[in-house]
Amino acid sequence: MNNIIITRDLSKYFDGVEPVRNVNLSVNHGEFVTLLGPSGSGKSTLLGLMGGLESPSSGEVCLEGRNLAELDEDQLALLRRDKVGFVFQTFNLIPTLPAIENVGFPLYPTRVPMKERKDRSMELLRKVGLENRSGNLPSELSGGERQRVAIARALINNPSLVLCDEPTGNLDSKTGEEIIELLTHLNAERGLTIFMVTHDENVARYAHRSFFMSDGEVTES
Amino acid sequence: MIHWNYVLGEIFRRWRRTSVSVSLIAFSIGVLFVVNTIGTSFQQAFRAPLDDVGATLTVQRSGDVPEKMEGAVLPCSVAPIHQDEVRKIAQLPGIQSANEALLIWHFGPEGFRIVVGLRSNDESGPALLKKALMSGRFLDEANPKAAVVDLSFARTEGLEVGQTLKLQDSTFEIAGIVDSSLISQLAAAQIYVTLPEARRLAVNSPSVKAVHKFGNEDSNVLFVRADRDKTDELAKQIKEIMGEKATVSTPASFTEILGGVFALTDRFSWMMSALSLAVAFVLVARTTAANVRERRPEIGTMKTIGWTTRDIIRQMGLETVVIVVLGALGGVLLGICAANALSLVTISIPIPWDMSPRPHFLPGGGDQLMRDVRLSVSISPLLVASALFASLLIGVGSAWAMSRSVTRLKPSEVLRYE
Repeated sequence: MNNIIITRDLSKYFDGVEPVRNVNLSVNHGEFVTLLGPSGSGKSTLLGLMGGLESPSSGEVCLEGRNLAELDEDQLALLRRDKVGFVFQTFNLIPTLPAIENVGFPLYPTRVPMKERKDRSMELLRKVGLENRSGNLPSELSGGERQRVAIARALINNPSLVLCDEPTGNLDSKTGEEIIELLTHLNAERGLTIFMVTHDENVARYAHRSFFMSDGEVTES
Repeated sequence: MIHWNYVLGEIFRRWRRTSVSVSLIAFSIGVLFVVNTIGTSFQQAFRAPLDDVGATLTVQRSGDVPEKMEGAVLPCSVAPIHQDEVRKIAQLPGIQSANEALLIWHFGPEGFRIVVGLRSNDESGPALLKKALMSGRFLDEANPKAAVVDLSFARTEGLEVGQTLKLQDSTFEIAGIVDSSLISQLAAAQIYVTLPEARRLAVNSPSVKAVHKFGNEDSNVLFVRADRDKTDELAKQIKEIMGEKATVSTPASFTEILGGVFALTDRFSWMMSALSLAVAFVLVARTTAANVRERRPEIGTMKTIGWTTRDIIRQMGLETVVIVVLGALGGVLLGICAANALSLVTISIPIPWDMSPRPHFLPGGGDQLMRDVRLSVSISPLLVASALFASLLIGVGSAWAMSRSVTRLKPSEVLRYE
């Protein structure tokens, strides 16, 4: 089985709207897939469903063969810890921790020894070009640097899949391009599967495949 | 796994929130500490006039006013207490000893004298004056015609050891001089004689006979040593034995005279403590809830990247515990400082008029007698333990409130509106 994640007839209703309608898509191991669409088209809701952050109204999501609907909240958290990395538009770093600790933050609740955690965090900071900023707090970093820290954090647990929600949305175009190139590089070098939600059509040219979402429905473009 | 760098980072980098919580807890624990210390200190202070004479309570009975002020008379506040009553009182459970004394006012050709009859070996009452002996020797039942005089009285009258003085038809040799002010105003007199001699003075006095039936074994003041925790109950039982004219003075008697704030402090200290803790709990719970609200995106991120609800509650609960411990230590320190400041305070405890041996009709006799007591402050380990336990309750309550908020929080909802 080459699919890392599959959605089947996936729908979500809330507050009288249906932001996701009968979505059927699959992402293969090692793919870089983008989901394009205008604001309000349901992209982030679909990403939340694929990451187990939202529960579907109907249909199912299978991540590495496991139906997410069968897992409770804590089991979903543990699945995300082991299999999924997240990159957000707003970075969502912990403001009181320095960069190196933010990178290792997903491993805090695990039994990974502190030294190993720090070594792995430092290695990832080096990979994203921030080895000399490891002791800085998020407030002392630029937007691009924060997003690099967030990407390093998403990779700390060696995930099978990285879900990115508008990772360049808060960055200027040059920095945004650097981030996309970094993700493309990680995809190519590590075989990292990336599913990226964006409304920037230029990003699509880096992807192996792209989907388009409008009014809750997804089509492959 | 607990991560102290995260805990300490949250505590110290969000210092405003931390200091608000720590201050609230410290203030409440400090209030708890001070209120209880004040209560205990005042209770001890109110015991001082009785402790001075080695008694837990004193017993007297009011009676008729003397018809004539001639020879030996019994003041109206100390009518005779009969031997059978003393025996019944001494047998009450909780009573350790009931020492008798006899207070007499003596009107003679030399003037007015306050005389007290005592047993020299008693453990309470005026017999404690032997510790305040300034010169000569103390009373001894083997030498019944000896008397001991108060220092200031001796100075005023020019009396010395070896001289004699006359009471009614009896002559007493001054065996010693004592400083009554070192002991107490409750049993203070000018002349002290043995109890049998004082009884003889009373029995033979026409002024006493005209008003009272005074037996050879009677007295008119009892200094009772008893279990402190049974004082109130014993006071009731003694009144039942002695009748409605009995006056049983306990530490509460002094509290009642001071009344107002002191009585309120004593009576409602637990309520004030509970109230301060309740206020602290509500405020800390609100601060904790505000903390959770403020950190919703952070908690949402934690859940998203694989922290279980239990992991988050454990981590944030530890933050709460550290804040509460800091607050509790601050509160105990604050309380100790405030308690020590209290020990610099001296209060004046008024002695009830009926416990004063001085007649009100003489110059200065109507003045309110006061006993100055410096508040004695002791920090009991139990109080420290109670303060820490109370802060623990605040911490557990806050952590519970926090865990409810964290459990309900859905990462998708938080991150969607980020």
